Amino acid sequence: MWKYIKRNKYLYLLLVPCIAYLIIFHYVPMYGLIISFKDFKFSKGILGSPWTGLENFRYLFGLKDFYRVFANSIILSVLKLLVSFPIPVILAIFLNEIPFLSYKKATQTMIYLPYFISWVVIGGILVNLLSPSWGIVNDIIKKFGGEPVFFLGSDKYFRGIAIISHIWKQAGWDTIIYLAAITGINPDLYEAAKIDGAGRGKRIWYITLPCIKPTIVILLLLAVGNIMNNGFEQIYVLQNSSNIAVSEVFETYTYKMGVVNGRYSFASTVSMFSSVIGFVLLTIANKTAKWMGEDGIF
Amino acid sequence: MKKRKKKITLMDSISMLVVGLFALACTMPFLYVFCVSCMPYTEYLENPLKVIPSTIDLTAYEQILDYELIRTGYGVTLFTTVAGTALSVFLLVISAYPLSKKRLRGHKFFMGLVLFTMFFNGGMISNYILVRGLGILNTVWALILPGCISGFNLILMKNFVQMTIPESLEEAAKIDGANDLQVLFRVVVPLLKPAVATMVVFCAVNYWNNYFSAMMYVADRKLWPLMLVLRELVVEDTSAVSPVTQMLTSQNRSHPFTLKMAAIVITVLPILVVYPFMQKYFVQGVSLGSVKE
Amino acid sequence: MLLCGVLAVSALAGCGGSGGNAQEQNGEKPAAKQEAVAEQTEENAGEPAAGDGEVIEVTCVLQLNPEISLENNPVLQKIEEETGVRLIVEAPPSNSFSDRVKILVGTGDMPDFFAFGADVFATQWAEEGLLLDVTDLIGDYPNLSSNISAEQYGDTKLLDDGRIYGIPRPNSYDKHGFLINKKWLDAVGMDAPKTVEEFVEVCRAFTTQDPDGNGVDDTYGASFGAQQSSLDSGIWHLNNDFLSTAYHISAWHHGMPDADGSFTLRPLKSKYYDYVTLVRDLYTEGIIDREFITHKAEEHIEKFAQGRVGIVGASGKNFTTNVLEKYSLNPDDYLYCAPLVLEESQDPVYVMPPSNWMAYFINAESDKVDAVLRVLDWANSEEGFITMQLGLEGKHYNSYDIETRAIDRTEEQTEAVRKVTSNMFAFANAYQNQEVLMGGSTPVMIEKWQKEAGAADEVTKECFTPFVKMLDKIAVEFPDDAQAVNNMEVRYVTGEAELEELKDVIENDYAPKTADILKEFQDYMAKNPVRFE
Repeated sequence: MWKYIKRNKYLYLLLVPCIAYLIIFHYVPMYGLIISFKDFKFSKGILGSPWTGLENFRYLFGLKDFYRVFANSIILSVLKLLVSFPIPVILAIFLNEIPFLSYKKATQTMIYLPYFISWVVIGGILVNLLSPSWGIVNDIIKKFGGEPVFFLGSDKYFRGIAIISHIWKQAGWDTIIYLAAITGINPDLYEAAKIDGAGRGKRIWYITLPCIKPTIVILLLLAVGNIMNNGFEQIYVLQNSSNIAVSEVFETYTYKMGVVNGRYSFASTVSMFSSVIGFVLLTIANKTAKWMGEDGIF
Repeated sequence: MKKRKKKITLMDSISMLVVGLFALACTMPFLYVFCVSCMPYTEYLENPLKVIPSTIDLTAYEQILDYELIRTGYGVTLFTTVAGTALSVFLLVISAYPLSKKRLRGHKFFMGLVLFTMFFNGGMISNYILVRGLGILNTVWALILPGCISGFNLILMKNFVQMTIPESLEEAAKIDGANDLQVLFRVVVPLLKPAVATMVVFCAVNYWNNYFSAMMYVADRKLWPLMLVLRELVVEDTSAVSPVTQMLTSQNRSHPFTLKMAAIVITVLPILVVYPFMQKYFVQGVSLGSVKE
Repeated sequence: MLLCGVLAVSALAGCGGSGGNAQEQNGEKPAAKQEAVAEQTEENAGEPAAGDGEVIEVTCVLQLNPEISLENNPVLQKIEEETGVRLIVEAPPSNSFSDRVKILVGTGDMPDFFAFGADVFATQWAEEGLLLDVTDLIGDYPNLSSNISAEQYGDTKLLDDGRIYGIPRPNSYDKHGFLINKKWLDAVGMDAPKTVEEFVEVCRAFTTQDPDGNGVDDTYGASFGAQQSSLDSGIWHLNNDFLSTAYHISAWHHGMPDADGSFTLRPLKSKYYDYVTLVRDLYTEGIIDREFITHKAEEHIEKFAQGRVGIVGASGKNFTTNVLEKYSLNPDDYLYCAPLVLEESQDPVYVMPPSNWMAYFINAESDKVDAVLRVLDWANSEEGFITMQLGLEGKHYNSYDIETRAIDRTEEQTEAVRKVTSNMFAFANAYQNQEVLMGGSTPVMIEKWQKEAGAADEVTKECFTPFVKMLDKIAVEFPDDAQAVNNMEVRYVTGEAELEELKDVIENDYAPKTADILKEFQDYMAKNPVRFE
């Protein structure tokens, strides 16, 4: 054992700062998780507050709308994942195929711009665009003889708007990772393929995609682990009382039920619940990926 | 160039069209924000979708740049971004390398350790107590250290190392008598340029946008980073802005909405300026051959 | 390697931190000292430094706007001069103010006093004994009684024991009427509405008769305010009170009596269904701006300023500043009107609970209670009020008349005071029930405000109600049911649900569950009657 460590001493040494960091900044404060099982008292702190066992969880599961909202959440996440996950991959591949360097650079810079604009502002723009009385989209619909659509005031369109605006804001930024992965591909491979007479399509299919597959898999796994997070800010901005039947997701609901009403421990209970689900899902997905012959994360 | 133009294939035009259209859609909101930020608010009111201002009105920018806190905020943000990114990326590189070795004993355990932190977090109070315990409350370190290593970035980096570095290359270096450290810094790092560039961008943007740490761990306004100052100047909650504040800020002041738009532009501009310098690392690959020589 | 070392060292520090180190920094006081503090508060006069000209340092956390510079701040210096107390101010970002305070309270870093809303969290802290009971101390500080009424102290009676746990930050009464577009009224040849029927007529005319004459059908009668909080659907907002008070309902001021003078919860009021049905009819006919249901903040006022709708709810206290000046509107084109009249009495009513805007809570373990109260007392005096609101005479303004609230100051002085103080800084937002400046920033605006707000005051009955706190419990104890009523209300208004469904939720779910709270509320109202003036 010692011999093994000694032989790999530099590798382990390289890991020391990271592990130390994780222990100090993540694992030391981790005791804070126990407030999920406590009734947090400001005067007594985390350790001194009285235990309540599973009371907070009982409250959470006992909420009347819990299961409906939970379902809303999962449906939206899964749809988001299915529709929006492939977009950055496709964009990155297309970007990489652009023959003109300046065009490539310019468009690449442009597509990550929305990432820096907060949801509140994007929400404001959407409201102006989609307004049934004054919005540009409905002006066009009316010009073609259609009836104006109250996009933001109906449950029917909420998910579509959430997904499209998510792609709009996020997809460009997410291409960065794939672009880096594509750039990391050994150019010799392409040269060899060219010599073999492989066309563009074939090169993408047989070289680019397989080479970035591990990156895709990892991001997919992490996205699966993230399924409980719909992005509070976005939902909160797009949500209103007329689309609440579908727009109420786990995050917004628990925020209202607990946090606003002064249940301090409850926020922790909720995030613990989501984390456990996310972690379990990730583990399952990871196992599945390995079983399918992929690398997985761990 | 001429020669190249002739060669444009169907694939080229499709990719240019798709990316071009998406890029246009992406530029719209930012362009809109920019235009609205330099038009008088009354013009925005007349038609909220108006893009071309009839008069250019830069009072919002003047007003923002007039605040003292903006200057200190820029300083704090620049420092935390540069120092934080350097530290982050360095840590990422040295940790991702051993983690990329699946044969290394304990590999799984270490990965588990990293992953767990991505899901579970002690919460605001225990984090505050930690930072206080470390004695870095109210210092610039409280803005840098928490969140310095992100599990997400670490996993990505590890994946990049696995992808780009063929085992054979390391073996070759080892046979030449290099130890792991030498392999890392002489062979691996030069090949990792695109990955490192990505991480630099990710970390820098994270630090640039981070206001949460400051809000939690810093009481002194002089340590407020730019983002926090900007958020304050354009308070989202309008109920906090009272009639008399309005009165004090009556003439020759921008409407809060215009201020907000200008604040966004001020936040994004520096990134727009710096990004192209990083970009060349994404756009051009690194050939293995070039390193071998 | 160096880095490893640094981290190793901080690791040790980290371990130590969770032990002794933290205790020291976190300001927790040993038991013995605590007793001493308690003794001192009982005597309360015996603070050593008071007369000796020695300055007492007091820590506080305040919500301030970021323009204010805290260094060499003349207002802070003036406070020190007047009271012998040096305030060490922490001003966290206002967007995260309450999170920051919660952390400080939860980790034992509580300052000597801090600003906070008298909400569920303050109540928890009072329950846990973290906040000082000031009931018996107030009497020693004359301005705390003369500028803050007994009703206003109702806000900080956080628990059921009738004790006062904080000094409210007094504000002036708020009144809710509406603004109407005069040019549009002229275009359709109508008068400003006084009754609900007239209101509906005007809305219809504004929608169908192209009052702005642009040839396009793009105007609506009215838009409503809506705030998407956990407690409310998109239908309730103070800016809709001009309409709902005609039905004996005020969105959030639950102390408004019902038609027969009794008190009950909003959905149980006798005309509740009439009101939501009216909104439903307006919505269906399309003579109000239907998008109000998606509003989050000030969109309704924005649309009014844009000339998209002709009527919007506004506060009689500050419609000039908050609407006309904020959106640079021509004052001659708009008219402020009293709320719509009640059917029975044909009188419009302003519902006026005592008004505070946050409160100051004192750390129960602070040994500087007298110093804190001295500062708050001074801030509620005439001199303190003017100084904290407007800065120093001669420097930030030339003269100010407290009787007429008239100020003489130059543009430069206005500019200068912005870095010194603001009404957010002032520990009192009203002196003798009036704010420091009223009506607007130009003589024209002030004159308009005085004329129109005064005219509305004359015809309107003022309904003074006490603070009603126990109703907040509904959202805490029955969050799901409160939410269910909200959702059904909206579905009813937008035509997705029928009246029976709404009635079903209210009568079979909401009413039985809230019966106890209702009883408590009615008992309380019997003891704290409303008065009409």
